[in-house]
Amino acid sequence: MAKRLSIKGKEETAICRPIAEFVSHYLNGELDAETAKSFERHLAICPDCLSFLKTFKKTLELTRSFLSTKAMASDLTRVQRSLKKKLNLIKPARLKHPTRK
Amino acid sequence: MRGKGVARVESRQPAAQNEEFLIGRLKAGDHQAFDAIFRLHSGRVFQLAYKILGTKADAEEAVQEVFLAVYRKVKTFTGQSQFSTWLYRLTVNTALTKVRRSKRRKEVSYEEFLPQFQKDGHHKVRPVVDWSYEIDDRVSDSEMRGILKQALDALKPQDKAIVILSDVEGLSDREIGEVVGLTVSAVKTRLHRARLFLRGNLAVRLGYSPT
Repeated sequence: MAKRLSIKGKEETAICRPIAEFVSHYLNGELDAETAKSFERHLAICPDCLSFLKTFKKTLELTRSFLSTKAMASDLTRVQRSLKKKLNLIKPARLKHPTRK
Repeated sequence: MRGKGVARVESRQPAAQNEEFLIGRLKAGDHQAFDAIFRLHSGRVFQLAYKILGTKADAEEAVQEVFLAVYRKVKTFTGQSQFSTWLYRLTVNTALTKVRRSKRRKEVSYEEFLPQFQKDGHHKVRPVVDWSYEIDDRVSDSEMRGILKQALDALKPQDKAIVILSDVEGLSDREIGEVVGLTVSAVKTRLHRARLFLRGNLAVRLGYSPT
């Protein structure tokens, strides 16, 4: 559901705090249309909040890119073998009867 | 030897039905179904554990613990949530337990990295510097990777897991809530604060004010 903020009616120069509080909702498209417009009107006149928004978005971009790099491949067959040993899923090799050839 | 039945079903049926079949077989004690489930999911479990724990050895240990739990607890899996969600929960819980046990971590207070405001609602430190356009030129890739790793490691372990589940695994807030045991609104709040913290932490590491 769209989020309605309590910034309506406030002086547009004095809503820096809700910009920071609801920037994630704004970027996720979770603000109602009217609130999103107030948000954008404030961004148009407040260079501080515009810088805040840009650095917030850059942080998301950098974090996503860093976290999306896959780890070096691991040889999980070794892990699987040791796991099966722990669970006794590997049958022990059958021992030959000492008297039989 | 691999079960012929398992192989036949793997090739014929859609993934979800195949998974359901394998879980059913595993509940009945079929070891080959366990092998098949391991092959299907271990890579993803490893990647998620690696991102939370940060080392290959720890992630491999986590894979082993997760699949031990799968084997031992599969009978408690009722199918009310998706198997992948259950597996995510086991992986995140296993990894977080390991992080909490480790003595390497230092608790960092979020407050000093969150934006701060004056009484009239304006930013406390002005002007707020837009460092977004210059850091690609100023900081090398490897240096940036180091900075990001340190910033992510400074997050509370559960918050780091939430960021990873959202940004890398692409889970919805509701799914993340199921995995970590929080409400949707709590997930949203934690995710937002974690991102504000990361922004402030990056700003400080790059020589700017966090506000």
